Amino acid sequence: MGLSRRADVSKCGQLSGIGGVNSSRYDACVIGAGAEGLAAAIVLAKAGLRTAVIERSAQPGGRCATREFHPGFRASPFADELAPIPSSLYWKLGLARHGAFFLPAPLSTAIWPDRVDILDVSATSGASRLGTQVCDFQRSILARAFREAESPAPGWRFWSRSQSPAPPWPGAAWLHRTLDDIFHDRMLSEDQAAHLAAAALAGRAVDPSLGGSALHLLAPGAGGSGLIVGGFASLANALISAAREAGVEVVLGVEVSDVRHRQGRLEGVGLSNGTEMAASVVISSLDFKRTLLSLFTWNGLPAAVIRRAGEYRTNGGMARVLLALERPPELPATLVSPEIFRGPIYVAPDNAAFGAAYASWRAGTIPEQPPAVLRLVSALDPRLALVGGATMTVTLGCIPARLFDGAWTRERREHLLARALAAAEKAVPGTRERVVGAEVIVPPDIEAELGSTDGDLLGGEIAADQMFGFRPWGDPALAISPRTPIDGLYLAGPSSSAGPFATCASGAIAAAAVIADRMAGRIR
Amino acid sequence: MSETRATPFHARTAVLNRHNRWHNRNGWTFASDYGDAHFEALAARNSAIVADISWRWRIEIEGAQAAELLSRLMTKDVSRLEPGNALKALWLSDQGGVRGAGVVARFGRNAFVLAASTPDIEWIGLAASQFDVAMRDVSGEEGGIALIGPYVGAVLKAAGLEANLDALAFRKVFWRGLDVTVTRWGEQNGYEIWCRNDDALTVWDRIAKSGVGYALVPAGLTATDILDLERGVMRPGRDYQAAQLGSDAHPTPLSLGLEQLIDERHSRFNGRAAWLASRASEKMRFVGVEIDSETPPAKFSSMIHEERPVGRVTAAVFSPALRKAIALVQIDVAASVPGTLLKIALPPDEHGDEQATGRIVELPFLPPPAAI
Amino acid sequence: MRDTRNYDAIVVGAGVNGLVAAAYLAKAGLRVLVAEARNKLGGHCETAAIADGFNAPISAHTLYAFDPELLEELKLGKQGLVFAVRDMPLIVPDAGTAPIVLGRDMRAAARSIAPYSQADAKAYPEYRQQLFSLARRMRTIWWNDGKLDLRANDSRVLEKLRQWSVFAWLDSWFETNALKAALAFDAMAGSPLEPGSALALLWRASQEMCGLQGAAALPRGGPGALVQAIAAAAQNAGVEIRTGVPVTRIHIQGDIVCGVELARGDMISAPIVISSLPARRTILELADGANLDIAARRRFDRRFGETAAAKVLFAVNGLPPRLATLASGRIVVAEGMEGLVVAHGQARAGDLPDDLAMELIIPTFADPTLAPPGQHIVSVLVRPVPLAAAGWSELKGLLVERTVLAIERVAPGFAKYISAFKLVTPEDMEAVYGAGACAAVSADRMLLPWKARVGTGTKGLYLCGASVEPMDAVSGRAGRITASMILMNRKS
Repeated sequence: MGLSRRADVSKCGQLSGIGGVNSSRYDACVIGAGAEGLAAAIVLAKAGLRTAVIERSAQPGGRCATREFHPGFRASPFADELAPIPSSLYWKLGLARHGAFFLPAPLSTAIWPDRVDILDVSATSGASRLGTQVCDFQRSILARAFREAESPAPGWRFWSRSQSPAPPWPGAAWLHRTLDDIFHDRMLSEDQAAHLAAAALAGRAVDPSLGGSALHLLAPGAGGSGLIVGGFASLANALISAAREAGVEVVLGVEVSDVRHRQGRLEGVGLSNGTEMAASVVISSLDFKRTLLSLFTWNGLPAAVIRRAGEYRTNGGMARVLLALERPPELPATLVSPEIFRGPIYVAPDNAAFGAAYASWRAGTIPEQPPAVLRLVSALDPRLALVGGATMTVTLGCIPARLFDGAWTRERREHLLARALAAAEKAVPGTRERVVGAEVIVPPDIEAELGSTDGDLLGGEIAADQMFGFRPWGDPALAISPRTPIDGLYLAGPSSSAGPFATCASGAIAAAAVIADRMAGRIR
Repeated sequence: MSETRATPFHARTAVLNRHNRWHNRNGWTFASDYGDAHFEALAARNSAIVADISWRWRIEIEGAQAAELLSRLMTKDVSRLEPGNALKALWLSDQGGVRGAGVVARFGRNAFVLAASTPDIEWIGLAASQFDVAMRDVSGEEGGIALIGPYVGAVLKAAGLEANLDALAFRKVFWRGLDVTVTRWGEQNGYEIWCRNDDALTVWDRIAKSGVGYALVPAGLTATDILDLERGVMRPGRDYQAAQLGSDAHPTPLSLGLEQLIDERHSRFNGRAAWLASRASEKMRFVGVEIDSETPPAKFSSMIHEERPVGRVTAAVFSPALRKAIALVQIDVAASVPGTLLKIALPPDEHGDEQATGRIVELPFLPPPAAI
Repeated sequence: MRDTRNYDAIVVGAGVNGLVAAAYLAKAGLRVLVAEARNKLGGHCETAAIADGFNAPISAHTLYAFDPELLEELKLGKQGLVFAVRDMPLIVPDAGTAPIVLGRDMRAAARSIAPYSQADAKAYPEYRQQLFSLARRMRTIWWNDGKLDLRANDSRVLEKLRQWSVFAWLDSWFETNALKAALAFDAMAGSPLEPGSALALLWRASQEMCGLQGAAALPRGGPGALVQAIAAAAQNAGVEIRTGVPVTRIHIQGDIVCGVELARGDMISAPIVISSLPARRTILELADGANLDIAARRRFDRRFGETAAAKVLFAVNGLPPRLATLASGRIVVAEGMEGLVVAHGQARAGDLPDDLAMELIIPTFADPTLAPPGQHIVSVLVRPVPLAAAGWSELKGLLVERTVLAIERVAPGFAKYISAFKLVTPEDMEAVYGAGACAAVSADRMLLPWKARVGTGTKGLYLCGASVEPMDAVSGRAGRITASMILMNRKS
């Protein structure tokens, strides 16, 4: 009751604000106009909060970007597929109305020189049953995250240690298990196991035989699909359109330089153009490390918080190679259906090779055979290539953010390109001779463009001590995500506990927490 | 009539039908899907799809009184139609009940083609018997494919068939040795190509070849039905029981939301007086309901508003674009305002009976795929 | 050439109904023109010479449904209409025993049935009583455009009648085949197996002539005299009657009638056109469909299963003795119910029935002026006969031959009294009157309100012929009711 009345009042204020009074006083300020930031802003604005989104880049969307890397050839530099958006959230944000449609999960193919394995999620198999279980886990995890955000335990305060241990999270049984274990339990064949491992570990630096690697099955999900009709641009456009419709102010091309707070209470943000924006709530969609280390001064935060920010592990390991092909590749002789080009093609996945690549990554060297995923993205979206041509992406895993012997020079990028082409050639022969243009994106590029520490798009290593309630604080008693020890600061990015599981969810969860806390009078 | 025939494209569609799922419509057999109907439905919004639509019922009407007959029959004035154009209209029973809907295309001064999703030879034949016309069912003589999606224009261009037609227009084209008719009669802003049965496979191959660069995928009946429902297109026999007798007063055009297919200025179409009379008293409306569930409700499920059943589901499907179930619902006028919240029972599953919330929305649920 | 005179209404056809409608409209002050194709008025009510000195009823030969209100309101008595006989009993002759005579005296009727069946004799008064009392209640919808108000019991009987066939209904009452056949023949022209045809019995019983329910009367001077009286009444009211002017087309603009076109090409405009021709001819031939909706038009298009009646008129120079004893009534000759059914089947198939069913009257018995003294006219209504036009030239001789044979069986020696005869085939009736078919009984049509039968959907175009009455008959009611509806519509 109380909330709705307040919502009405603030709506009135918002309406009068449209009349031309450009006050820089907002109820909430969201840092970053990516999927999470925009989702958070939409939910807040729909609840009647006066909300602004500040984005450093001139283009909204964050990782949902598509760019021309070679004349006439376009691709998404950071990912080809997002984690899916949960249906209920998709409805709540009204994304379909704004033109964002998700394609169903395509076939997934693993190609070895002498054999293939095709995984059709629409068919019933051990692998698809595993996928169903993963989906159920994800759904329950998100439901719990929403529940916790909306209703923290009565009398809950930041810093106070909880007396009773929290119930285990769904999927917690996998916390210390290895991928190999899980596949073995399901009696999957070796090829299938390698195929699924490759799918779970695409673009990551993980050894599937190490404990905790099973968590990668959960994050981001194997179920559902994040393929968007019309490419990522349509998701970014839909989010912006939905945000504007909800009344969100989106400020592009301005960077948040610092978060102003006094005595643990938030007052607003300082902007790179020298102005200040007053807000009692700030939601950061940046990762945990970056939020704390770049937006606050060392001495402004409690020591425990600073210590945790230092301990938190990020794990960038993905490189992307975008290839412009003069004509579409031929179907490998072992395959009949051109449908495989709509989905990912895993190049000769092999658990031993994963292990070796992981060792290279730890050593800071470029692996001899990095795990590679090919996608002929233009086969699904003709917008991405010139007529008659094709666009292929190669996603490589276990690529170190920092090389032991120096920076990512031009030669090293060329070297990586050669590795990528070798991998592509192995699965789809004839690719190399068709290449007319290429771009190599390594983890430092991702960090530079998206601001994600080490180019880690998952916002932190997926490990037992950095998952579920432990993410990102390492101790659920320290703060229940998405809340932080700073009153009014909320985390919405991939580093928040729900971050790795779905797109838009961590933003919506942060917004739900803001609304709940306002209603309880914990923040202004 | 019970005989199931293969369409002229069968040799190609059979190879592509990965799961060997078939469906019968109007006496022909069609692939239900070619692997994943949801993907196919979305491909229509993403790139392009090609679908065998040889099931469409088509009759040729020729004769001195052809225009007069069709003007009498259809709810729009056919006599003013220019050759080369077409219009979409209803045909009503004497008492204003909707018997069918279709496209009338004028090929010449006295030559027309009527195309519809559901045959109604009884009625059209009866009307034709009262005029000086000759009527011929040509459904089996030609095969047709529909091309839907943002890239269909580009696909046609690549195939050397630059049609460039307005909506509802059509053209006879001599296409690299083949006589084909290109039409834009569908609901999805796409194109259709009609060709002689013998030419069908050549047409399919040419389109498939030129579609490679545009991510053209074949789509089955399930996918095109999903698109139709998302578009809010109602098909007699599936979404409503058409007027059975020539004197049936139901369903009225208003109750089906089909009034936009009636030209109010057209003064002498069959059932006009009854239609005018029925408008004030019509108690039911056709609306779209978006349901917060991925499971579509069963046909004829009740919609509850304020503890009272107010309507029933006539068709429901999971919309992969909206990622939720959508339903066409016939509902009391009083409860038909967009935005009204409804409760609806879902088919029982392992969790037992479930209820979902639905919201009345303006039709269509989604616009047809826009061309690029 | 355009007719310069203005009319408020044009009536097509000067039959009884057309003249009645015209008279009523003129009485209300409208300028009315009646356009008749023939040179003679009256349509089916025609008295004409079949031989020198013999004036016979050419088509209709008795009146049983004429509207009593008309007699009064148009003061037909003053115009010289006199009935020669008020009721002619129905007579079922039998070669062996005494005939069944169904007259007004119930006890006498029962006595005459008794030799055939005691049960039937007992049932007949009860049957007649039930039918007649329900029939009186039906007059609100059959005589006027009123509302039906029935008691529950009556409703049940009515519901039964509208489902049952005459055959089944009479079977449920009687066992004497000849009795049942005569009652069926008397009531209707259609097949006795038609579901709902039992309603015809009720309709027949609801009629009243000269104050007598269920009677059959004969005007002095034949049916033609009735026409003379109505025409005189109409002309007195100011109706203009033109004969010899066939209407070839009814003009309609949009959905409003605007006049008629005559054979000579003249156009006469009027906001109201009333056709006393059959609905089918009016709508399909004259009005070119009259903008009728598709299914509605089909009802007019249907001719399947229609049969017809023929008239055979004999000029006789005397009556065989057996016929003379029956001369006061209407003698029905039929080969039982099954005979009627078979006859209908054959007629529908286009064949002349082997056993003809017929009704004989001897109008000269009651009205000697129609024939030279001592001589008689025997008027025979034969039905069903095929409507099929194709074979009538060959069927003619056969029809007369079989008719004479049938009469010979009842009244031996009849043939040698014949001095002249005239055959009127359905073809002739179609050609002369524009209507020859006998419509099958349709329960739907019988219970439809007058409004639905009289109106056409085209504004200003009305029907008033026999085909819009509940059952085809010379009643004049269609004319009266159409006129009153027109006047009401004009007011509002």
